[in-house]
Amino acid sequence: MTLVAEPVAVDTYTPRLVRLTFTWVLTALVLFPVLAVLGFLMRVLQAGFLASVPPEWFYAVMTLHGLGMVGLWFVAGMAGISVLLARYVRPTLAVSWIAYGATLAGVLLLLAATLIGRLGVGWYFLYPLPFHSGGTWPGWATASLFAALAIMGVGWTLWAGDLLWAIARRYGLSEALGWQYLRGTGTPEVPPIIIIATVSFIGVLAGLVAAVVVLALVAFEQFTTGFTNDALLIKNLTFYFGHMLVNITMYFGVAMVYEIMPAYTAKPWKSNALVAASWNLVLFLVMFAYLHHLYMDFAQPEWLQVTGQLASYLISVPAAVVTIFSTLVLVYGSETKWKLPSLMLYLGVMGWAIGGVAAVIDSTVAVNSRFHNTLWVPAHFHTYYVMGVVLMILGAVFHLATELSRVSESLASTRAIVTTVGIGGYGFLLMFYLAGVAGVPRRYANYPVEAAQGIFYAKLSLIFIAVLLAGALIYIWETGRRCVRALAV
Amino acid sequence: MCTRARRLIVSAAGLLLATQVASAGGRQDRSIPPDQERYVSAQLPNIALTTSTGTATDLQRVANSRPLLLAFVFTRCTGVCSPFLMSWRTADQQMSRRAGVARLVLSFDPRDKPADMAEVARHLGVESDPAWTFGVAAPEDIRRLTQTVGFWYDWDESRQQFDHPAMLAAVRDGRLVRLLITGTVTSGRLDELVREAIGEFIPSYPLPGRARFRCFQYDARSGRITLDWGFGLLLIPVFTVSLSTAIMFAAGARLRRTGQT
Repeated sequence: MTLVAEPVAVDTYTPRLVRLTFTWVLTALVLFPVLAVLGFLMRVLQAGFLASVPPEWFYAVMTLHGLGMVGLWFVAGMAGISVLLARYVRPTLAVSWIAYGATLAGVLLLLAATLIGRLGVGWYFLYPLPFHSGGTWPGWATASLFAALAIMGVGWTLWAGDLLWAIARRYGLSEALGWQYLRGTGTPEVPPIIIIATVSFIGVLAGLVAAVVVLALVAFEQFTTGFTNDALLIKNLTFYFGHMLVNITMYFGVAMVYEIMPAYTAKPWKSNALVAASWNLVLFLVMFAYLHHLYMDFAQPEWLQVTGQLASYLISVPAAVVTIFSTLVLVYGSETKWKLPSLMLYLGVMGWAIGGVAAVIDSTVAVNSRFHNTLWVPAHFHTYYVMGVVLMILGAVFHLATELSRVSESLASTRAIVTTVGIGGYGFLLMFYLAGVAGVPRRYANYPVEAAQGIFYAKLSLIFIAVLLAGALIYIWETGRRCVRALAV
Repeated sequence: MCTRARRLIVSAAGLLLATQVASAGGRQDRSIPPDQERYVSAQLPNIALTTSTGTATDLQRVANSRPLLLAFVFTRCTGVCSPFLMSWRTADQQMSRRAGVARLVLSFDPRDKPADMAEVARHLGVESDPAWTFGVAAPEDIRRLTQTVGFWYDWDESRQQFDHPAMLAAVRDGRLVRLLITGTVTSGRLDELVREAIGEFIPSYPLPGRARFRCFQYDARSGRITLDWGFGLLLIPVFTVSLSTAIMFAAGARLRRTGQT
């Protein structure tokens, strides 16, 4: 039995836009399994296998896996949003190509820094660690990292700026933020993706400006004498940037759900006062939510720690709860066509909910003092990434690829993908959660006897990761051939 | 790819891996002090020892469920051992919380006898203080214990002396919690070490006046945290983006008005 893709009007997608979009998609589909295998390798080392591999390799792989995955899903989200926005506004394709070139250059520098230079600073390269390698990595590896960040930062800033400019050319700021719904007029009508995209691009640009400040301060210290940076200031700015990018990546996924899901439920998902209010609140709260990364910094004043906890709690209401309930309402009582994209989008929202609950638990100061730096932390962020935003983006990509290639969906491969990704994904995450509750520390290349439980959970997780990877490979094959076909058409 | 090229890549990869494995082993670098991060939380072996009074005992009984401060010396040392011990004793006497902490000085020199250690205790003037214990142990036990806490000693034939760092280890419940590597023990550093050994949280803070842009200033004496100029840098992203967004949308509105979109 086959599920036939519904042909929809594709006039919006010009050949140049299709070529650009699928270049991004195919690049992501190549990088995704490579970075996932690096994650598998980390768990192999933590499981006690390949004991002869020195720990510094673990940290180099961890850095590449973390930075790579965060960057990969951010650009995949940006590319997805760009193509969906093309239904309403006209972004400049050349800017997206510049961002693509900058991303490739950044990836090459990161590969050199980690795989050749053995840079092991973790995905948030916390100052002053990159400059104190203790002989583990050379100075040029640190320089490569910051050069990669600078190049990608410039490309992404231009990209986000251009997309926001495209919205600004068609809508006023108050319209793009949906204030007409708050005023009760409701006109002109603006689709939810415009509101979410506007909020997201403002957030992205703020995060990237924070990265610029970090780079400037670090460069100033390196190239002058007698100037020392305040580690707490750099940490605040780094997490402002890092947390913002990760948060916004999730919002890109959510925007795709808003835009694509109605095609399968046959029920419109329009903007209203609730949607507008919630995303405006997100824009405000996302500026403070990062503070939960600094609970352990005793020099951070208590009022900021309280702000961090409140923002972390409150931000889950407008973005997550409103979206989750809206998704349920959209699906409830509808004749939803459960194809691979709708299944992935729906499961992605639910994964986001599960990961979100785990995140809110960890953002509670009293809990964080126990869970901080345990495997609970990777557990929650892998949940809303792997089983959340990644599913949303991959669902949207499959939707586009099927729509443009007109290749029918196979029920057998859909079942295989959903089953393997579901079992493999949640099994892999469960091992993280159980280890986290047992207090197994994160970022350990190998576990001492006191944390020997970590070895057991790492071994079990290998089975689930293998299942998850099998599902990912089926997906990549199915989507990849559709992308190639769409490009040929 | 031709077979020769493939062999070359495999050989290079093998060589790289072998280099990594070789560099992972080997002895501790003597040019840098012991790295606390590598040894903290290590479980100390409960070695047997003989005190300066000739009593046979072991590490656990000396600690007797108390936090333990541990140092390694040798009595024939013409270098750091004596001034190090003197400074420790002086700092110790200035401490407010002296009770409830065990102090143990062990010799790592196989030539040292209990009587030699008794002489050291007398020299320090703590021979009748029950909080202090001086002792010797079997060379292999000393080797195990020093390796656990990151202390090293090498015999230098030319000087007829041991080369070694001066180090004070804080132990709680049989585990290493903190190292103090210094030739001179000050009362402030000793106080931090003891508090850590007791189980108190020891905050660390940067020296004042070093960083130009700091988010907050922390006054260690009053415990007060105040805003500093660096906090303004945290506001740059919000202000920059608010301004640029406003300009962008104003320009967009102008384009729409003139019909140029």
